[in-house]
Amino acid sequence: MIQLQNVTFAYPSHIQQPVLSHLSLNLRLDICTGLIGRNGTGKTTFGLLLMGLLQPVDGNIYLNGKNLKDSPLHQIGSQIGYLFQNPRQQLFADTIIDELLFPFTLQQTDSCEVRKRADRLLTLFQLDQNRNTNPLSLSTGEQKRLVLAALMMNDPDYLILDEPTNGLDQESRGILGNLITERIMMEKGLLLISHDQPFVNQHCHSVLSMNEKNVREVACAT
Amino acid sequence: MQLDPRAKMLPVCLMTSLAIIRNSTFELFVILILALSLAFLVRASLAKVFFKLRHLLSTFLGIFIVQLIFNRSGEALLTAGNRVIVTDSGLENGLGFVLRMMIILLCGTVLATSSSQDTVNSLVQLKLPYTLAFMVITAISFIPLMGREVSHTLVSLQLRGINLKKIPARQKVRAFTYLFFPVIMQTLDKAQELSIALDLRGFRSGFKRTSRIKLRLRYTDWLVMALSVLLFIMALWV
Repeated sequence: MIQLQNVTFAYPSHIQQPVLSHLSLNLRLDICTGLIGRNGTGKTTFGLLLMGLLQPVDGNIYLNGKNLKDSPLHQIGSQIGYLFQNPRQQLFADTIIDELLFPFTLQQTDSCEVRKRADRLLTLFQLDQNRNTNPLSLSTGEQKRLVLAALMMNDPDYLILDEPTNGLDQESRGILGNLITERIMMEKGLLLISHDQPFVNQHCHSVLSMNEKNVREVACAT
Repeated sequence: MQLDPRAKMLPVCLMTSLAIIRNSTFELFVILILALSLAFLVRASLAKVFFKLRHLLSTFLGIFIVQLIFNRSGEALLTAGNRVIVTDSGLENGLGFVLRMMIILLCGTVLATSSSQDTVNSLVQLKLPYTLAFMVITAISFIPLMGREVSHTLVSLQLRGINLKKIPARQKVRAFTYLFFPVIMQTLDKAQELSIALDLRGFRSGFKRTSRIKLRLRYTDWLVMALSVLLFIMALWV
C-alpha cells in the first residue's frame, strides 16, 4: 500500500501555488490505477513524489508502512519501477541485452537465472530479434518496450508508467495491455498516468482525476 | 556594480594571460586577489559557484598533494630521517596549480554575471561575426546542461535499483561508462536538435542581423579597463 498523508507539494519557484494541497490517499499495490487530468495539473509531479524524487513540503508518503524520506533511491527503485515520458533518459547500455543485464553485472549478481529472465522478457516484449542492436537506434515505441523490460528485471512490486501509450502503435499497445493483465494476475499493480482515456478505462480498476490542488476518484470497477 | 561585458572581458583576458605567464607564487596570489576584487565588484555569487564546484575543488586539492609529494626537485622543506617528504619546488608547483585554477574559476564567474544576450551583443560590437559569437555563447550554455544530464542519469541509474555506493571496486570504471554514455548521447542529441531548429527558423538566412540593444561603455567601464591595462603593463615591467 502507498499511503499519502496530508501531502502538500509546491515547486520552489511557485511556492504560493501548490500542485497538491493536503492530499490524503491510499493506493493499493495489487490493482491498476489510472491517473488522468488536464496538462499542467501535476500528474507527473504526483508520480515523482511517489518515487521520492520530489519531497513534499508538508505531510508524508509511506510505501508499505515505511516513510519514503527514510528510503534511499535505489531501494525505492527496486520496489517501484518508473517509466519516464521520454524513454531515452532511461537507456544506458550499448546493446539491448546489456540494457537488461548491466545492473546485475555491475553489482556482480549476474546469474544463469537472471539471463533466463532477460531472455524471457525480450521475447515477451518482442525485442529478441535484435538483442545486439544499440537501444538508441530503436524507435520511441521500441525504446519504451525496452525500458519496461529493463524495469521488469527487478520484478518490482509496483509500476508507475508516465504516458506509456504515447508513440505506441496498436501492436505495442497490445503488448503493454498484456503486461498489465499479467501483473494484475500476479497481484502486482501499477499506476497509469495517461491522457489515453480509452486505454485507462479498459485496463484500470480505479481511476483518479487530477485538477488544480486536488485528486479524486472518478471511477471504480467492482 | 553593473559593468559592460567588454569591461569584464578585458581584465579577465589580461588576468588569465598573466596567470599563465607568471610562475611565482606571490605574483599568482596578487592576481588571485585582483580576480577576487573584480568578482566582488560585479557582485558574482561566489558562494553558489564554489558550492556547485565543490567536487572540483577536492580534485584541485588532490593534484596539490600529488605535486607536493612526487615533485622531488629543489630544496628539502620537510624530511623524515633521510627521506625528503616536501621540497620547495613541489610546494611552489602545487600552490601555483591551485592558484591558477582558482583565478580561472573566478574569471569564469565574473564573465557569467553578464546575460548571454549582452555577451553576444558585446562580442558583435567587438566586430566578431554574429554566428561565431552565438556559437561561443551556445557552447558555454551547454556546460550547465551537461551537469544537469549527469545528475538526471545518476538518479535514473539508482531507479534501476543500483546502489552506486556498493558497486565493487573492479566494476566502478564500468559504471562510469554507463553514466557518461547517455550524458554524451543526450548532449549530442540536444545539439543536433538545436542546430535543426535554428536552420528551420532561418538562422543565417542572408539578412544582416540588427539589434535594438546598443551597449555603451560608461565612465566606470573605461576606468576598470584602463586600470587593468595599467596593472598588466606594470606586472610585465616588474
